[in-house]
Amino acid sequence: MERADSQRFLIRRWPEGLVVFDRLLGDTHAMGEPTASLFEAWLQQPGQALEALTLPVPPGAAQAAVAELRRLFPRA
Amino acid sequence: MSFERCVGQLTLPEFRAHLRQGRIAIQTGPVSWQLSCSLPDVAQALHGLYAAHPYTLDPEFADYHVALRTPGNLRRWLRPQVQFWIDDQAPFEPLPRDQAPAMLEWGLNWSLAASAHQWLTLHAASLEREGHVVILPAPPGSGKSTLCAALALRGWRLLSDELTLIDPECLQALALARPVNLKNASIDLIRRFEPSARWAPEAYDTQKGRVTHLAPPAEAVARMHEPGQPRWIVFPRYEAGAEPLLSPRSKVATFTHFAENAFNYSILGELGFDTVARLVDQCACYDFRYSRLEDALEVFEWLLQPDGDLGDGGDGGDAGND
Repeated sequence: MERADSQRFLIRRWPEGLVVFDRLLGDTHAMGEPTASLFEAWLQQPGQALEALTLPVPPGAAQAAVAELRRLFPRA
Repeated sequence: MSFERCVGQLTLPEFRAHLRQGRIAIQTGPVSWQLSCSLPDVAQALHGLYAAHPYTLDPEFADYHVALRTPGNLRRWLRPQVQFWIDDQAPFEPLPRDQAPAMLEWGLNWSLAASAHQWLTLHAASLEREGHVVILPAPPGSGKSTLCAALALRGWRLLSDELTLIDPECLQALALARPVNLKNASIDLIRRFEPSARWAPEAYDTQKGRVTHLAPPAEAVARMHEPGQPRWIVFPRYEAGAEPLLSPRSKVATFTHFAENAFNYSILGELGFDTVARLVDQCACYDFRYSRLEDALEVFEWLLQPDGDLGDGGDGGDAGND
């Protein structure tokens, strides 16, 4: 995934998920949970591979979140 | 420029002459329209629909210059048509001549949606009561305009039926106070609901079926320079026979709807994102299923109560990573 630049994303968070504006590409994405939490974790640790980021969810849900983020950010 | 007189103070022949000569500009909220048309039925429709609106003659400036003209081709003898013009451009194919009054209203909507990028332009109705604005987004077949008309005829101030203009700076919704577009069975429903309402003539066999426009209440026009602060976003859904049901709606889903349906979300870029996000943040968001207008009016009255919101109101989200 592209390096997470703290200036790149504009985010609005709500309990059920978040929306993000990608300043680099001009895209808007909406994410429910747990994808939203994984995205936030990635922003905190941009050098980590997505699979290495831990989420308090069952493995299947975590894998789905990784796949969703890779879909939203294909260069992941 | 000053707007001291209303369209209704002109006689119909006077109005028709001004319209034919392209001299008259009508003010609808923050927007002025200089109009030109020689068709008598269009003049009659405008004279009724915009009776309460201020006008000026030969203005030094108008935001939009629009005209309705009949194309000068052979069809005018067989199946006459009419064409919408803005700034001497014709952005649409002509329509049958008897749809002229409706085409003008649709053309005005298009003109705003295509160019008014100083505001976020939502495809939604909006009404105000006691300083609070409810926004009614418009999935197809939702009954949005029917509900909007009923609310406007029962004490809610009509801001707009089709386009809700949001000021990106203060998030206020501006008032246009233009006619409400109704179609098919909704026309008869609202005619029964408020027999004294004023209407344009009906047009038949349009792409939307039978259509007409309801004149905005005079009070909505008198207060069209007063914006309001959005408090609720309610997605109406008409469902025959259904009991009324108001249920909280996800803010992410509400945001997504506007990102996909606001006319100029993409054009505004980051400003569009920020404006929609703050708007959704400050509003309580609901889905609303209904079948009877009387039930819907009761639910909207309940929203006004101090403890009316079901929670998940303007509680604010995290501002993000910058």
